[in-house]
Amino acid sequence: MRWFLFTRVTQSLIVLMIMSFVIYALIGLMPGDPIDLMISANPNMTAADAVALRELFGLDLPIYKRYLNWLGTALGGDLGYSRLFGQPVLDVLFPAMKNTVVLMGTAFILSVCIAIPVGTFAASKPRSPIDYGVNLFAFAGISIPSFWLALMLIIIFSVFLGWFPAGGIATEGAPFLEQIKYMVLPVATITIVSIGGHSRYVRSSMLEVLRQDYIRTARAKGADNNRVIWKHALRNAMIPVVTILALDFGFLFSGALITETIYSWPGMGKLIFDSVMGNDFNLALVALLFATALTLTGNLLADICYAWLDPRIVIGGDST
Amino acid sequence: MDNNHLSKTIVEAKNLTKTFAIKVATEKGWEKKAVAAVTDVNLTIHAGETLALVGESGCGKTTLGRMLALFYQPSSGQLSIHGNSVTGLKNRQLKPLRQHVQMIFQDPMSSLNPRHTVEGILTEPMKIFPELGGAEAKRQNTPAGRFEKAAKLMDAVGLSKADLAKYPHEFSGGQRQRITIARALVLNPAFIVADEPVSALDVSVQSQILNLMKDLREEFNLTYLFISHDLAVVHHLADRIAVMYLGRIVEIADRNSLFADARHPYTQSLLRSVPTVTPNKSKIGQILQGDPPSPINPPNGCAFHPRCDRATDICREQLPDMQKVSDTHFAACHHHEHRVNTDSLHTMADT
Amino acid sequence: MINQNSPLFLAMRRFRRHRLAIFSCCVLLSMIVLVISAPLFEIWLGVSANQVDLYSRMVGSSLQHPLGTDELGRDVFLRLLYGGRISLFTGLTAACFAASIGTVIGLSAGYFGGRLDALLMRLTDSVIALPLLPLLIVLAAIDLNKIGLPEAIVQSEDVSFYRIVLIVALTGWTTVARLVRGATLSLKEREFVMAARGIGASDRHIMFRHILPNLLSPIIVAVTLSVGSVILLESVLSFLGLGIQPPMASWGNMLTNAQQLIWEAPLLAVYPGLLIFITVISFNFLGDGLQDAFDPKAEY
Repeated sequence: MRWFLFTRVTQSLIVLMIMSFVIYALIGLMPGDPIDLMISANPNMTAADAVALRELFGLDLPIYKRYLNWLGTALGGDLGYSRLFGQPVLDVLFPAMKNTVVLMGTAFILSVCIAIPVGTFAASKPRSPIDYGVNLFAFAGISIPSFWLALMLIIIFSVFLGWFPAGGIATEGAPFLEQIKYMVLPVATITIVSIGGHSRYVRSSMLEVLRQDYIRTARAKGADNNRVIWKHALRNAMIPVVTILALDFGFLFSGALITETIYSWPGMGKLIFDSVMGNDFNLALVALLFATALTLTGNLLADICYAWLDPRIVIGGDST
Repeated sequence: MDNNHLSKTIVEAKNLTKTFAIKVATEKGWEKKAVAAVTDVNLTIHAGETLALVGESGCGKTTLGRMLALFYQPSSGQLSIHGNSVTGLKNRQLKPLRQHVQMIFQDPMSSLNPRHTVEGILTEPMKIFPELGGAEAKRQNTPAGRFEKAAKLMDAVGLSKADLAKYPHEFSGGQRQRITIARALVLNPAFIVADEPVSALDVSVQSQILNLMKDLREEFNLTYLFISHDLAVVHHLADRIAVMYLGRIVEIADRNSLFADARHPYTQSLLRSVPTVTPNKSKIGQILQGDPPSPINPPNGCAFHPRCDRATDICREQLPDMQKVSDTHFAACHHHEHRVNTDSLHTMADT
Repeated sequence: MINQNSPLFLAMRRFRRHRLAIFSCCVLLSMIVLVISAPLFEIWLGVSANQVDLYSRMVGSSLQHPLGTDELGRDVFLRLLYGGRISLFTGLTAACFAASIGTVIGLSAGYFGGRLDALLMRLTDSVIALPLLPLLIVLAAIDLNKIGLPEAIVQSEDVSFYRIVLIVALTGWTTVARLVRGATLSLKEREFVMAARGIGASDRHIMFRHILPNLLSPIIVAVTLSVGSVILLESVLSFLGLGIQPPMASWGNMLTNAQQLIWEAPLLAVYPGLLIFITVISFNFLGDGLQDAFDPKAEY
């Protein structure tokens, strides 16, 4: 187990290192560069000033040298300033992360709480109308464009009914109900999109378990069908489900970029989008790196969960 | 090993050894270990004869067969096929030799590509070897000529020309095995390695295929290496029989001597497990107990001693050499002089 | 001549039992016919798709404009047809492109094994473990001048199309690669591969003539399923202004404008999304049906 952990963590760290370079290089390829932005902001600067500034900031160096310079300062704790917000990058990043966790966490818990009973129920009556219904809904969930769903919800609930605001977030310290009001539509969007996939996953995992011999034995002993499903089978069916949930953990932080953007929810997803579009190089770089690191962590957790929960998987054990 | 210099040698193997690297899990993770599947095999096969290779599963007979069929490179030792040394050759260098050696596989289900028609399967070798068989054959290596040859082969293995358009899944197991035999014949090979060609088939079909192989042997002047775990099957077809145990050949003899006068205790117990018409008479002595030892940790001395009721101290310490019993009969046993009455089986050998 | 017993034909026979998939197939075929015949509709309606008419902005449906007009007075129905061309074409091209990359990677990893396999699979795992959408946005925002592409290409109209196909293919090959590798590993052990080697076939011959034809059904399923997600991805990127650029219409970028007009003309936001939804779900049903039809357990 220790060996397994060690290799997986090392592997993730290597990927993160490579990705940090890739992201750094990609950001460098985006339109405009910091000096151009300075020049356009300050008409008094001459071409000679620009060259001098380039040298000062090391922008004339080859890409890998610039990367190493950046890595040095970043590891020293200095992640730079955000151009759009005029604040240190981390001061912008953490509140956004908090907003994303609130939004995604709520949607995630809702989706799982609905998907587990629905998926289990569908699996207990395969080929019934309910099963087909769940299947259809699942297909709809993976096929619907989330930005369009968001627009439709806005049209219905904001434009026509006027029940909820079309976007934004409640001001700090607003009453709880007011805060909820802003969350309903984005949470609904994410939940509807993810619920289908989640329940389909629970269903197939459950069907797999119900095929096992020990479930058949429990049934043959005359145990009540419902009891078999909810007591014996569900616990075992949860093993792969937990894995999927851990995979989604990464998404919790990188956020539903589209949903956040449409509803102007100030989370990580919107932050990444805005910083990329607004040429905020420092912020985009760090936000993307955070998103990558957290997604990799989610994957790592999923692997570990899987290995830890399923006793059939022997890691580096004795097998001759 | 053999005094008969008159007939041509097809296969000559000297100290042939094949080891596989496997990974063994230990406390510190995976460790690489070499496991010998075939050890120090000396073998000569002459043109026109059928040599049977017999042993339990896992004894290395398939590995040896695949080495002789040029699928595995020997780890050490010398191997020559049709007079060409093959040791150390790369895959590309082996290609011209492959026309001389073909293989018939155990599972006719998996040895035919389900996406190819029978015509495709039978004409493919000719497309890969367009230069084969002199000017006349070269001239006939056209789509029509290839089809003609495929049809002839189908006829030879007892199937019809109309079957060429079909896919493998449309045939029964026995018919499929006929197709793999036809494929093995396309390049006019001198030597065919048949790895348990009938063990995946129904008993009623087995003898049909064995008879077909017998007929084809005469018709195409074939030399067979016939691998089987079943002495009863081998007896039908073999001129000589080699018995393998844990990667080594422990006894090799012409068919009659082996059935009548087996000297190695392992061969004797194999013979005893052959069903006969007079079952009571054959139950003399030891029936094989337990499983063969793991090739990862082979026992010292004679590999058979843990299962042998005749084993003495020398068996536990010293590896027995091949001992000459007669000009055509050799056995690797310290106690090869010890004979048991296998008379009842002798009746089988005469049939 | 079609052999009535070929494996593909048998699969087609099983497929016909799958009603939802058949229905989806019909939906997709009629959609393809519609978008191909878009110029005919232009002639029939007497307007062209990009014709701006500021005197009739955002009018409702009429005989001349079956689905009304947009904020510039352009005919919505025609723009949907042309947008459909782009979306479907992008989806199919990118999915096939991604599948080709995935097939080559998966086939080499599975067939040659060893270090190459380990390396390629670590690469695949890593790509899967990345936050895709944020990275796609960065890729889509890259300044093409900076990677040294000639001005003629950067300025050309089609560049946004090629860019999106490339981006999607670069990230979408992983599913096919894993699938193909797994199938190759098991096919490699089948005796017909050894038999092919026995008749002197080269590695390339075995990979492409023996293994690849047996991979066809899983690849077809994977491509069908991924066309749906590619169309979604294209529409998202276009919606965010990073994909297909106006005036070229795509279902995604038609929604961008509609979002700003959501209070004045909410219906404009309904049509393109509905079409995306129908197309994507049809591809998914189709893929599901094909998967059942190609089920290896039903192969013989």
